[in-house]
Amino acid sequence: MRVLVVEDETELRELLGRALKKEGFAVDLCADGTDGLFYATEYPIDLAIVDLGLPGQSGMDIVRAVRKRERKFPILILTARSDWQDKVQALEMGADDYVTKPFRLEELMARVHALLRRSAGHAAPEVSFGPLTVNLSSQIVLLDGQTLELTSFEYRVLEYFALHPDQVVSKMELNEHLYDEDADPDSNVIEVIIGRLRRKLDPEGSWQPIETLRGRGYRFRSQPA
Amino acid sequence: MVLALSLIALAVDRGFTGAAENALKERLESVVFLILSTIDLDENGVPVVAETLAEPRLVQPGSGLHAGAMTPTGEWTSLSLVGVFRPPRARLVERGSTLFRGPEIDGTWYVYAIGLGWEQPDGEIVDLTIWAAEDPDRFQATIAGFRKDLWRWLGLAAMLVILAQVAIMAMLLKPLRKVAFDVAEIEAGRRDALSGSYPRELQPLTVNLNALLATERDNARHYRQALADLAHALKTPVAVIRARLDSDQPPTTKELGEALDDMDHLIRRQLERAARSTRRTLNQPIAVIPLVRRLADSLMRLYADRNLDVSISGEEGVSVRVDARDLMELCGNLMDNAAKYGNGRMHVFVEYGEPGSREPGVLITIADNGPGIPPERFGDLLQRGVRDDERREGQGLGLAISQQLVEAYGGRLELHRSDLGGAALRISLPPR
Repeated sequence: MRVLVVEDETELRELLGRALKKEGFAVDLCADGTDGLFYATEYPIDLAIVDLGLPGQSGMDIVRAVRKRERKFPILILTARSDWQDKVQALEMGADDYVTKPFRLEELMARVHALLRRSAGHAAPEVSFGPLTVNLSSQIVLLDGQTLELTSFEYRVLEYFALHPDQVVSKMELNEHLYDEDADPDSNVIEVIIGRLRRKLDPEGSWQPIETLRGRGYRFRSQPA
Repeated sequence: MVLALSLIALAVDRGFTGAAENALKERLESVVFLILSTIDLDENGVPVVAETLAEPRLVQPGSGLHAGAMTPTGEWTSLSLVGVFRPPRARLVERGSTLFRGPEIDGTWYVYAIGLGWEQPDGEIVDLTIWAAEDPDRFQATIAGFRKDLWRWLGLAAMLVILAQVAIMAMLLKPLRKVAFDVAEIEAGRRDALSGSYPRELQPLTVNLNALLATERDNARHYRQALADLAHALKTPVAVIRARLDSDQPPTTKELGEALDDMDHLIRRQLERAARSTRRTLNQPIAVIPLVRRLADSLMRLYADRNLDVSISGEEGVSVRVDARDLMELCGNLMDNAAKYGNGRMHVFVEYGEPGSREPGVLITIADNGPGIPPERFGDLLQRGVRDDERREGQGLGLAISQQLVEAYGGRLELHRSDLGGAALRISLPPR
């Protein structure tokens, strides 16, 4: 999942960047509204965290512009003000949730996960596919009731599949949503990870949850074939 | 006004010139008839006029008034024409017709002429033209004299009117100048409020101004107080951390986090208190239902995964005079609680407090289908977050803030049973 952070306070921006990367997100950081709007409209963003009090283009402007261009990813507002007037205004512009400063990182991460889940159409944090249960909040994966050990990157690929079940996902799309600008992924890496995921999710080869569609990408089956 | 006076002057001038020309024509006509009464033709058809005419100017050389008579065979002119440089050029006028023309045609003279047929003793009829002419300089001099008078009087009238206007304006503006002066005095700190007598028309202005000043002073005092409170409240935790950092027992991360939470809580509480205690004097009436609807839409977005069902009923036009931000805060807190602690359903009902009265005040009831609030705990909940020992915000802080907002407007917050099964909170706000 690729998260855009638009925040002008350097320390907070860097802190959010580190925390989100630790959670397994690909992160784009922007210090001002103009950059933020560019990323929000030109990059395959899955969620944006936008500070309301930005220099130049305000956070409200970004939200409005993003929605005007019909980009539908969830937007989380960061604001120092907590009155309802501001909240209502931000939500009416097209924001999905807000967090008031100062905040706890766990709180923010919980909201981020909830928004991503919601935008994929899941009400509860736990998503089940046949014998597989993925908890998008705690990031615990159960296979037949047993905890499945996954590396951070394996989990990220699985999470993306879980949020886009029964959809064709190209290798390019996976690359864009799982790596940020800094990384230069070797296309081989995705194939290797998918191979490892297949072995872990389906050791007997009976379920085959990840289909390969030649020349198009992969498809995660929500129901066993 | 200058324009009006100029138009008047122009009209009068036109009228006078016309009348003067008519008078001139009549005078010349009478001269012509005077000549006619004494004229005779000799046997050769040459006009003969007695030299003792009733008009003395005709016999006075250079008088400017001239007359003459002519026939195809001869001509008579008055004595006054002697020595005139460019005498009026006479010509025969058709029998039975008259002619009058001004200097703009002839070049020099106003001329009146009449054409006649004169019957000689032998029965022959001779064409005879009798004319009279007047020097236009005299006429222009008359007009110029009149114009001078006209403008002098009009100018005087204009000056009087302007003076009268200035005097009236000064009289009318005097009370306003007094208000302006008094306001300046207040600005300079020499006075607290507008006092003294003002005309009845200005009373509403001065009363409102005084109310505004009082609120302004109140607000300033509250802000100062809030700032002082905040600074004071923050000093203690800061001092403790500072001291611990310098000691041999530095604070743990957990302790630092707790101290930070405390400080954040302090800041929020003081901010809310400051916002609550500043009142605006002149509030526009605000329609309640549209505002509630906006909040409901926002809450449905915030609690998207709960399938929140909010129903709003009541009279669409119900409005109340409070600050929009306050009303939104008030309803927002209570509706947020209903969304958080309810079981997915909420009903907001808006009505007038005393239907029929001119400014009835409003009742806003927010009901949910949650577990409800036991009446014996309601008082405690209202106190939550207000007491200093309260550390975490949570259920009830919104209630406490709402309670204080309602009280600031002289209203009440009551707990009722909801027909949805949960709590129903009723806000009643007085007219003003």
